[in-house]
Amino acid sequence: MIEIDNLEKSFSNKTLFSCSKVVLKDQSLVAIIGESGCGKTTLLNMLSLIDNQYKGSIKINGVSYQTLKGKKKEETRSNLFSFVFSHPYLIDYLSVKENILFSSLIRKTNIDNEKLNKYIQLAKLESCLDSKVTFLSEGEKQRISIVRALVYDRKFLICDEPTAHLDPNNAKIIVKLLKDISQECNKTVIVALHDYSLLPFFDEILEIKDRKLNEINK
Amino acid sequence: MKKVRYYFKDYLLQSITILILFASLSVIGLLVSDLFSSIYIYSSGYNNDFYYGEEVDDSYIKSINKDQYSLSVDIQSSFSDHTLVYSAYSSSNFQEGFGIMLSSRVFAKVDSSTFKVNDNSSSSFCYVSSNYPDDSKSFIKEDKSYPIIGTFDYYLSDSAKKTLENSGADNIYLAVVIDEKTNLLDDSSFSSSSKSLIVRPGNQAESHNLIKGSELNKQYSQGYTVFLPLIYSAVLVPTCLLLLAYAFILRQMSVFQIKEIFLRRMFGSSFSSSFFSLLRERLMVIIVPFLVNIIVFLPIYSFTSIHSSLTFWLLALCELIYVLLFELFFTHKDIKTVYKSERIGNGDD
Repeated sequence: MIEIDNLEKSFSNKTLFSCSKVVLKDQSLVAIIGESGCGKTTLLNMLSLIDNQYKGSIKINGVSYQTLKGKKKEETRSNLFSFVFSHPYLIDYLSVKENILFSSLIRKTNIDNEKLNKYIQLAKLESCLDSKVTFLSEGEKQRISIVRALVYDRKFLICDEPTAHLDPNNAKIIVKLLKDISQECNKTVIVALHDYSLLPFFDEILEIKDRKLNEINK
Repeated sequence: MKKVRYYFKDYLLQSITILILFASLSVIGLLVSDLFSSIYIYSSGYNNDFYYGEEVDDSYIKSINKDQYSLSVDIQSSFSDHTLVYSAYSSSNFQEGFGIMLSSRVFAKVDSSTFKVNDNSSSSFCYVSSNYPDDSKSFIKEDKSYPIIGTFDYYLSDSAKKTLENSGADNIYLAVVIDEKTNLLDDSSFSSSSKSLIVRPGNQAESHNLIKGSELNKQYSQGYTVFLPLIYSAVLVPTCLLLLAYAFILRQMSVFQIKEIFLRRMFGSSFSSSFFSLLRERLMVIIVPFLVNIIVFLPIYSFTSIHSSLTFWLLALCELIYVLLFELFFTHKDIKTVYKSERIGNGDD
């Protein structure tokens, strides 16, 4: 659970957005929506401990990490969150499977094969596991990056405009996949996006409008 | 290895660029070595070029009296058994931390039956080398048929004297060194003054003041002071430009992918782990050109008489230190850029 209380984010004494109180439940699919430049990515950075320069409090499972710095902050962030971005950031010289396993490759950790197969099936990537990523479509690449983030297996999955470079059909597939993940994999998935047509898939919706962050009732 | 295979062309291009850099520095090293040898800079007063290049082994030097600039030398030359090597060498005034020692060599081929040497001072028999062994070599080749008659005595020809005077030397010393293989010299026909100059293997050479050139020396020193910055700029400017160009080119062609480091950060790899991983990857690109450079240039340095393998190793060490510092600096900078960023994800690539 993430609790946001009296939050205010400013740049050069200019308020980007503020928020009185919002609570994000566990295992929900949360949308953060708003116009470009309204502060969606900034909010994601704040939620995921990357940016701690703000007023108010953000508590994750009842704990505020705002005062954490340096290595400790980096460790806590990487223990709690995994990420998906608008660019899939795949490694060209690795196969689909190797990209999916990137986190375990660099950390030299083992992966639960049962979970891995489940994620691969969810993302419908069974047929291209040994392919080079350069030959895949943008939609497939984005699904790979989502599975890669799942393999990292953190409680929160932060997605910064994962559908930005996709056609409407692929965007829908991705959001459905994220929905499945939140329900079947017990993850809280927080997604920044600006496509309002995708909102019906989400459990909770936060909108940044007129420098205010508000929860919208569906 | 997958990465190497995938980016093979990029790595190859990078390696070639690094090899070009190393090779250029090695060539510059050769030129600098030549340049400094030819005007001889050696503050200890010992002139490495005193010996006959590849044909005389430096390890035969037994002792060096730096104060007197006299040498005790065993020479095992590959000259014919009856070759005498005269060496006239000069000391100089050492100023501003640098000294010049112009070595003048006189080679004489001695007839095996008479052991007599022409003492005709007007002949071209006396030869002052310009510190380039090749000059001396050609002299010997050309003079194989030179008739050797008369009594042995040392002398310097006018041109030799002039060369030494122009060097600014205030003392000229002369030693005669006999080929170790024979160690025999019938000096009965030598003048007493020349007898005293003969250095048997293992003996100390006596010094003989031939000329005084303090006035010339003064003039020379003044000229040299002006000349030195020119030499430095002739060498240092292109070297620095080359190093800067290298840094720029290599940065442009790096297969380093910021997204890979970014992903490492996202997936919990520590700063130091990412740093060493990237550094290892970059250093691998250096190893091959570094080895090729050694294989190509070490023999060139070793087998050309005026350069030594030590010069090369020092140069190679400098090259390696430069590249290591370069890679350390930029690897740290690149990793820091990613890890210290307060914003991740979109817009970072």
